[in-house]
Amino acid sequence: MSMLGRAQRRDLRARWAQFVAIWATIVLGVALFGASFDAFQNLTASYHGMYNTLAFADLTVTGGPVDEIAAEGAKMPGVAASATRSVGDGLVRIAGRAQLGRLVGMPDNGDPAVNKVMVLRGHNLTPGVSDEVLVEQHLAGARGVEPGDTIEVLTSAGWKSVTVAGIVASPEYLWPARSRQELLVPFDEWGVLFAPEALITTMPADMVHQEAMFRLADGAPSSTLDDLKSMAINAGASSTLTRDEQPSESALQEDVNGFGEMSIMFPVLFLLAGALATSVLLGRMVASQRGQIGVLRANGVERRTIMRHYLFFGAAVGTAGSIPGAILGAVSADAISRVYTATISVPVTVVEFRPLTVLIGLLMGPLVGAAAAYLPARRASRISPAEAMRGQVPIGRGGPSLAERLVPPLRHLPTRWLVSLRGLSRSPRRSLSTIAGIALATTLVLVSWGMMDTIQILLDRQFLQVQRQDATVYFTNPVPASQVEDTLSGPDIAAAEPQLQVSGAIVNGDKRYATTLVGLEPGTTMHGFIQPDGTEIALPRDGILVGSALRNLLGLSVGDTVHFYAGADGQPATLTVKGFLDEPLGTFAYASLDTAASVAGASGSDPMVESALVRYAAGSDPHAVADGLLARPDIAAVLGSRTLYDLARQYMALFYAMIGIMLLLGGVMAFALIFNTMTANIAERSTELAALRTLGMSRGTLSRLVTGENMLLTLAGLVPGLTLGYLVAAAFMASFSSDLFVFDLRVRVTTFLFTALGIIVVGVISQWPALRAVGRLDLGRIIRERST
Amino acid sequence: MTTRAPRQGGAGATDASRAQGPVIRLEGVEKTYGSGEVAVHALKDVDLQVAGGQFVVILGPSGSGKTTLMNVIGGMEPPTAGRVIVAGRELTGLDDAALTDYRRTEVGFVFQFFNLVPTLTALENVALVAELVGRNPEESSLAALTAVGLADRASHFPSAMSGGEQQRVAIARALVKEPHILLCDEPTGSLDLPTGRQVLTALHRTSRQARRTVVLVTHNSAIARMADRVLHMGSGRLLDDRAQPRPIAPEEVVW
Repeated sequence: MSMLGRAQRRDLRARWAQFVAIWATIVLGVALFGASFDAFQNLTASYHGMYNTLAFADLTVTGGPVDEIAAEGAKMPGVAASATRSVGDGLVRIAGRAQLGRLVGMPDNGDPAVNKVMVLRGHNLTPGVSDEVLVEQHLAGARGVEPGDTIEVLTSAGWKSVTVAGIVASPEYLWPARSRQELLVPFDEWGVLFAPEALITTMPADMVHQEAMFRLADGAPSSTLDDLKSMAINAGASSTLTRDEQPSESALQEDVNGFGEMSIMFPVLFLLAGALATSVLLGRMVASQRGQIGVLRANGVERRTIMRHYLFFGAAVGTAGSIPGAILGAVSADAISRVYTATISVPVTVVEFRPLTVLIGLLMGPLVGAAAAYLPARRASRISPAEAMRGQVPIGRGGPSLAERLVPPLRHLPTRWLVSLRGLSRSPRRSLSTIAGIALATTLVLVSWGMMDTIQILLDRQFLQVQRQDATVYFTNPVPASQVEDTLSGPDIAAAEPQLQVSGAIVNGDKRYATTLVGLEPGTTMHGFIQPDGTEIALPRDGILVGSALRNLLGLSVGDTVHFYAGADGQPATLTVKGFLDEPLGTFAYASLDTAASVAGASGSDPMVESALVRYAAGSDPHAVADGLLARPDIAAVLGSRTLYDLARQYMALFYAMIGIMLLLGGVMAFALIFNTMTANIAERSTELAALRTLGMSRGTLSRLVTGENMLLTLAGLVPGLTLGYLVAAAFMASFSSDLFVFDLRVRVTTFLFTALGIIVVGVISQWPALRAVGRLDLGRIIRERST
Repeated sequence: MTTRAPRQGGAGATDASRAQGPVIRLEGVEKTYGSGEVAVHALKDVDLQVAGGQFVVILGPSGSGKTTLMNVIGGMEPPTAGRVIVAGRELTGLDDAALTDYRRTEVGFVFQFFNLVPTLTALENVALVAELVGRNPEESSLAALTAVGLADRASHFPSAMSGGEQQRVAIARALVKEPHILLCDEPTGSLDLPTGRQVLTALHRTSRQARRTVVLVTHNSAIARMADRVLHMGSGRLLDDRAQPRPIAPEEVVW
């Protein structure tokens, strides 16, 4: 090994703690990249694998002459397959308890050309048998249904017993959403079954609609989808739904895209922090080795040799971090993908080892390390031999600090406070690097915590401020609106109001959006209509209130006139937009009960309603009240608001775990940066600090002086960090916002305070090794070594 | 923040201690670094007494133990054996807090490479130490700078000052707390002759005018001619201890 190589090895050993701190941030950065990027690809492949196998529809058309639409569409270039089916939204009864259910029609042989199902247990439908069903896995799991069980379906003739042939997974219900507006539905309150067409035809006609489905061929012309949509609408269809718009696919894709975004954002943060720490460390190393560099240059060592010598450190720590980071990333991606698909109950899990991801990860570290080392290495290579051999680092110009210039009275502070204040400008490059690093760490913490706050606040908003009912009750048979209160009156029911839900589509010009129009009593106490500015608006007697997402999706403004096409084949009703609503979950339209009844084509002043909103009496047990309601023969299902709230929070558990990890990693990042800076600061000033100790400054005073400077750096980094964190969090949350979820960033004031406090605490802890060094300054040795 | 009562008087304080015997007394002092085969005996059985107000130069080549001797007197390194008594205070066995207090109140240091805080002005560098001993920072610091002829440079930063000026600021910093003794480690080591003379003049003045004991460690024998007393160190031992009845003026020193 050359002497320079030996020196490199010993320099690494002498500064092992600082290099380890940098190594840790690079490991994390590379691991996060590998884990999130491969998880993103694994999940995408898992979904697409299942979609391809099960011929997931690229377009679903609702309403109109579906047979003609399917036939016409099948002739269009790029269409690989088409099919039609009936879909009924009705009631099922399992083990004596009724609930809402959707029955999806299947051809006689159980194998449709589009939107197939995967049999997980049992067998497919038996051809020619009309009293068999397949149960979607989430419903089966929630209600304990197994192949061979008998359940009941409500038909026009009453309850009909059917046999469960099998438990299945469907590409349409990987995320079992009832609609784009109702993504969260407890499986034991709503579920999906797949049944022969013959069974669905026995359901009440107003519960059943027709659909046409299309699957595109690989390499289909890009205009095929739009052509199909135009053809279907022109033929009389009420709405179309592309695969991307399909509720399950939309929800899952938002999640998966999150991984994709994380695979960029978090690694960038960590690798940038690692680069800053590397730059600080090597800058200090070059400064302290000026004399040695001068000797080497005076003896004829070339500039590029000096440059390579210092580049090595950056590349070495980067490489050392990349290797375990890439391995950790690959292993984590595997684990994350499996846990995720198991949690979502995706039956197909594709986990691939991607050499390219590992290769990129392996290259990231050395590239970042070398890039970070470049400037200090270049400075080292440019040191003139004569200057370096003087043996002293130029001490800089000196001057009042920025704070003193801005606030002149600060110059009258005790002198030792000025040492701390002006210490920031001793090495502006180092101070700025540290401030930037602290800002990055703060950003990571605030983004993570801000996301958590947002989801918690929005869930509270949805289930406490917007939805004010304790439960939604579904009647076995429609009830006149005026009789709802009497029908449901009881000691445990404080209030009951009728609700009329009309499925359909809002149309503005050539733009269309499928949604549900909810009719409620004017002056309802069961729902809060909250506008984007936070104020409440009353439900108008005429016109509609719509979710704010439609402002952009349909290009709407208050006062605009829209058409609402009710049901699969309804006639359009003309309505005026009276306001926009800020509701976190879903994009509904709201109108008075009379307006909704009119849109639904109901006649008379006392419309029939299928559901009601109830509020329980104070102090009553929600489960007991719900059970009591379900025991009534006239009540088919009870959808508890609390159950939905708990379901939402349950889905967030995995997300919160990830946030917790990010918070911890933010602390690690801040620690690594401040530790490196403090160590460099102390090393550079050891004789100066020793001089102060010999002059009688106590350890405590000296430690406070050093701590003061460190805290000023930390505070200086907190301000841009909190600002940047807020902006990044807002952008990140906005990227998830759609008509499915409205994620406006909401950060509690305490979150800002705790984030700042957390970073300060980490700053205090990370300076401890350096402070310990201050306390153990060997004054005699330092004085001896500086004397001739 | 440590608050101390301001020191009373100036030279008067040293007069009282001088009247009570030697300001510095070392008895059988030894200092060894390491152990076994790698042990380095930096000081071997050193006995020394220095009266108050004396200007003492310790000469010796590199590795002779002269800096170690200064460190032991200054309470920066404890002796391995023997006793060290300075200004009536025995240093042997004191803990770190007590030694810090000793250095704060009794000893001033001047280093070869100044070791000023680069982000403080000349006045502020001196005031930093004045605050430690509870003196009025502005008043006492300006007085100290005036004593070394640098009152007009009070607002300048070290980077804007010559080596000699920086060293005189360091002297002012050491003197502002009115220590009993001033320990100087190669104070002219990084200076040229004219600048070095300025520094020696400032040190000499404090010795004569304030009757302050000055111990100056150097390998430059020319400086020894201005001392009241010259000690020669070699291999950790005090080889020679000679008084100089007619020391020369600092301006006459030539090297």
